[in-house]
Amino acid sequence: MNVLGAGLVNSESGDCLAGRVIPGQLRRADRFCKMAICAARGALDAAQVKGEEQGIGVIMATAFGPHPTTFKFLDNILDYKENEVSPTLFSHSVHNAALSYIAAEFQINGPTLTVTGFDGVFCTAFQLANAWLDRQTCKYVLLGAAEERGPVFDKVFDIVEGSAFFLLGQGPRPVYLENKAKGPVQAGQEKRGSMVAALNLYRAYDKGLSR
Amino acid sequence: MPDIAITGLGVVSCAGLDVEQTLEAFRSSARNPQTPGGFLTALSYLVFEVKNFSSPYSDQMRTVQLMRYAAQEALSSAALNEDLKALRVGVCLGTTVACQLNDVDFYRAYRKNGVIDQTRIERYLKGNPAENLAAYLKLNGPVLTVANACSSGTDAIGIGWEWLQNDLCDVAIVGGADELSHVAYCGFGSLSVSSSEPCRPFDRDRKGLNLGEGAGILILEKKEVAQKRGQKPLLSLLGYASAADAYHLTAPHPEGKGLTIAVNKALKSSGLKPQDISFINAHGTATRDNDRTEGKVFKEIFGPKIKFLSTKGFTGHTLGAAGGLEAAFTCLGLRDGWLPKNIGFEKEDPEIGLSPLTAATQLNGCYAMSTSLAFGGNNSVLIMGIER
Repeated sequence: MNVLGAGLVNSESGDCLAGRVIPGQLRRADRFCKMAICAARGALDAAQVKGEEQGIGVIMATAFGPHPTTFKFLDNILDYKENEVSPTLFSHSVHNAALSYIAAEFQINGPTLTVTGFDGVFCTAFQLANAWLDRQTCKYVLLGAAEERGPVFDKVFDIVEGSAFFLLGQGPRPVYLENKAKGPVQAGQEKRGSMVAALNLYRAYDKGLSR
Repeated sequence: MPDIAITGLGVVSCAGLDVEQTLEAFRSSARNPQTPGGFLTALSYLVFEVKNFSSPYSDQMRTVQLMRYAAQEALSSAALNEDLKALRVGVCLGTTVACQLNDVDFYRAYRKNGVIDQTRIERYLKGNPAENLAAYLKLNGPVLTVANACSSGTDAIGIGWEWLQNDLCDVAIVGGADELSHVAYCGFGSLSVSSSEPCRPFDRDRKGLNLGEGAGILILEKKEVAQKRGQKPLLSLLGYASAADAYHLTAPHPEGKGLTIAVNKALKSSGLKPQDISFINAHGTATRDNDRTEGKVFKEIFGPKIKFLSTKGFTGHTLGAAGGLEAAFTCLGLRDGWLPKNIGFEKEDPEIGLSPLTAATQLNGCYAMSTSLAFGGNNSVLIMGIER
């Protein structure tokens, strides 16, 4: 397995979405979805692979999902009558909304899988991506992570916000994926979200490219 | 590739607290959807709530209580309680409700005084179904919770199958669980897909879905592992595939593009042809769009005589649990050579041009399929077989 391309949006130096061009058809997408779409586009562009190419599967890991949208929907329930709540907010409050946008935006008809957990979820997603490639379930796997910060969870967690996606494909396994002891996709600090492990992989990939 | 046996089943839903009670409800065509009892609401949509359910884990999220309850039945039926520590056991479970902190009381208190109730946070963190079960049973295989909306349970079963195929574990505890949630109840209402009458899957005059709750758990294991433990597995998981519509956030592709791809890939992965499939346990939510899309794809791929049914008329739409429950019901149909009628159906929809089972039916086929279509456009398909 090899990493053919990677895309990253993160908030280390200001708003990660500032200056990014968001197509009009994504106007209803929330921040969580927009971050994931931008990172996925970065990975596909870097690998020079088009989404509609046959055989792309997508796996996205997230610990907390689009919780700010969930809380906005709860605001609706508390502030309005139950039959006046917003269907748009509800449909964006589910964890897999981001992959729905990614599949539609890049015309991907392969499997789209959103996985969630607080203990090594990105690492297990990485392991599954490897299995999909080994069994030729897919020719490529677009593997990603996404997390968003928001006022409620900021009181409890120290979430690393952003999204990273990697286009994985067959090929010689690069050195940075071989280092299992201190590997780039180690579990740990998962209460900060899935981006901790995804950033490790991104940095290793980035370093590997520049060596 | 190793043969993957299905050695244990556990179910809990409004139709019954275990396999036997559920089959009794199927035999008697009993169902009793009501307005919700678990939360106050001014809406009138009917739900299938699990009643008379008591769990020793009352400090846990209800989804976890339902999940552990069904998992216990599945493990017992697989005679696996004692062997777990000696095996590499993975857990892959689907959910929609348990992965979100969509707790109205928690949020109301937060809005009022800005204070975070840490007990609710702890319960949320411990409520991830796969992590919860793996920690509770002290398991050492891969652990993953799938949040793929209504196909979560089916995808979780498929991932367990893939883990076993790739030798990542010897046994996989798979399926899905979800509790009834006020938030989902309001959300589905806002989408105008809920019904205030008992749901009528595939019927011409269907008016929408009824939400439900429950858990459906399967034990998958490599056949040689099961045989080594002295089990003689009859049922096998033969194929799985999943495909995206790439179309819309909430509506299925009108031509069933993703479902067609998933069905064909699942058939290919199992080495079967459409005519080998003796019946389909359909997603069959009783919404206009879902049932029309599924019916169209069934007709095109399997022809007009295909036997199919939706069991959501007995359980309601249990979201993340649906794939687990329906996979278990598919296995029971194969095992017993018997299927209940598609309860709620009366008149064929000319837009579909197919009727589901209108009466309880004997069958002697060896292969069956279970389908799930999700919010977000994911479509997932499992194929099971039985040795006769």
